[in-house]
Amino acid sequence: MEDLKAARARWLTDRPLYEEFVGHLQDVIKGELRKAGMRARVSGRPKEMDSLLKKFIRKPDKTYDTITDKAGVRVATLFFEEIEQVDNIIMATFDVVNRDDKMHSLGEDKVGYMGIHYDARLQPKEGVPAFAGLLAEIQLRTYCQDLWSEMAHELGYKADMPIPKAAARRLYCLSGLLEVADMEFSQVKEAYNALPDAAEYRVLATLEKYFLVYNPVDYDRKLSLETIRQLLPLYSADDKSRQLLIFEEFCSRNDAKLRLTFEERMQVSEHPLFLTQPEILLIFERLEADSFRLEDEWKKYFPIGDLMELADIWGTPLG
Amino acid sequence: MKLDLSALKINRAILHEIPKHARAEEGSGAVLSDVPSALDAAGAVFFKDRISACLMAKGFEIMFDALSTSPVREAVIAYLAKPTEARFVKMSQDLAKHLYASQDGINPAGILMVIDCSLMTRKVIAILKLEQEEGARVARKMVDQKRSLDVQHLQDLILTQRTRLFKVAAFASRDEASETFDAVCSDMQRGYDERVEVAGFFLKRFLGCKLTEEPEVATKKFYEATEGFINEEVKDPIRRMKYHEHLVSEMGSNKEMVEPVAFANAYFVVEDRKPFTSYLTNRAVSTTAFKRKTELIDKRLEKELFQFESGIDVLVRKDVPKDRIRTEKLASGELKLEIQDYLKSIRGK
Repeated sequence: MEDLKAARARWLTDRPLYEEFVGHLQDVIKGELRKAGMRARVSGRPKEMDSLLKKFIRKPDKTYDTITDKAGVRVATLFFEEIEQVDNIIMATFDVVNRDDKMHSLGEDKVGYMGIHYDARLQPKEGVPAFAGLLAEIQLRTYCQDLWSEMAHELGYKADMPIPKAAARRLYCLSGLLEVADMEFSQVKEAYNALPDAAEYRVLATLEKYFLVYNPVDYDRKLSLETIRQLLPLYSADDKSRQLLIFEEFCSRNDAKLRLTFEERMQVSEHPLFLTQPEILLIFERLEADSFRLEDEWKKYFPIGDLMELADIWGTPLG
Repeated sequence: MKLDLSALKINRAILHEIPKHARAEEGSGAVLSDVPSALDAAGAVFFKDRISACLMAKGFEIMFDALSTSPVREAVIAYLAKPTEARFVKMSQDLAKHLYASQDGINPAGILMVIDCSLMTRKVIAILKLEQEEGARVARKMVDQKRSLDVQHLQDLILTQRTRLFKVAAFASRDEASETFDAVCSDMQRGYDERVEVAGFFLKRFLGCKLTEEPEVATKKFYEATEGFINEEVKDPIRRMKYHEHLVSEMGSNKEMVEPVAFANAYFVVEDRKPFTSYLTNRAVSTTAFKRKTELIDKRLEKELFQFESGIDVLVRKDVPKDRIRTEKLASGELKLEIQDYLKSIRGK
């Protein structure tokens, strides 16, 4: 078994570096998610001293150098279907030495924890020299899986006695229930998006994807839907059928300008509130396409001063 | 080409005080700063917003006048060739001295603000003259024993309207060598007419520039392009007539300036406004404000020619009483034009 005294001394020395390493890993993952226009919860920690030492007791075959989760980062997605996309991002971003898909190892006839765990290093081309060779464990799961995992950990590991079989079964039933919840949340989202009169939901989903690239902040979803609903009549039927392309083309053409706009405005505390809303991209796009009709429609529902300010920012002052 | 200044990024700025003085007397000269003023993120956005809003809404396209003796062009080119901080300070001081020398007793005291900016890959120099009310002073301060002016204090003055951003010009380099520029200028106090010396001092005497387009030419181009739009793009005959009537009325009004966007907003239905401004832009007609000078189109404003598909032409003088001609749009889309008058003569043509 690892010499605990020696391990303690080494971890006392190494932990500050791992703390920085975890921070860097989180920044890298957040940056990649932002590039992909995705929202996910990213958290992390270097292992606590006691937890590390206890692991050596529980797993005597592990040594200080072979233990892989001294640094840990967790990524939690809202929806199950986003797991695949984040999985691809992690595989492409890091030097993954081991990938453990718990769902795959569970099989289709069992329920339980379904996250994906990676033992990963920074890729040499992007790595910071000080972090070269350091391993981290990255865990990827949905919010529902995260909830179950946290609860199971709390109940299973912290109980003073072995968990009774009946209670364990109930715990695993809950895992199945949360798996169903994951499926249902995805179905509800799809149903929302498929509603014929829910065009604003589809537009918001599209806008959010691009918006998060420029300004990854929380926004008021109800305000977004309300604004989009009022401004959708500005698009012709033909435009509506290719809205995804319109925003893609607009953001691609104005990428540098959008980056500059958000970067400099968000540093100022008194920034226009719409800059923190995904529909700002629709507003900028319409200002460029036809500011006259936008102004005409806008003033029916919102204060014109807000649009004037945004028009000045975008370089299309209203007449 | 209209400059999109919304992506302007301020790199450094410096302020110099220009005291009021009579031309005849030498005065004490400009009060120069020795270092750029510190500008935080909020300050940079503040000035950028005011410059771009002012120039994009009310800016005139200008160009350096080859016949001018103003040193501004050479100073800007020399600085942009090697844009170090020391050279920036020197260039701005030269501009301040020149502005001081260009002014006389009728020009109020003010502050010259010179700003080094970038517009994506282009280098831009913005020059502002902020005129002050009596008693409004900008706070001086020492930075490493060098003189400077407090920008925050200037922001407060602008916000409280005691100092206003009256005259602004921006020169955006067209090429790597930064020797040719797209330039735009605005005077919030009044429009530009080179023949009016008070307004012209900043543009002509100080900057050494002239308007890219003479007001007479701008007026004619706008008139012709607007007529083109009405006849080519507007299908409804009554709407066409109304638009043309507004155009003639706008040209003959006593307004000093014509603002194409405001014109569209005032007289065109909303769905015609964007096609109209696009039509102007596609024909290289500026959509920014210009001074109304109708000398080149005066004759055309006196009469209105109706031309019909079948070959009928009706020429109507503008002073004909309205009740002599009645118009009606028929269900077929044709226009019924009814003239009621005493026949004076018929001639072969």
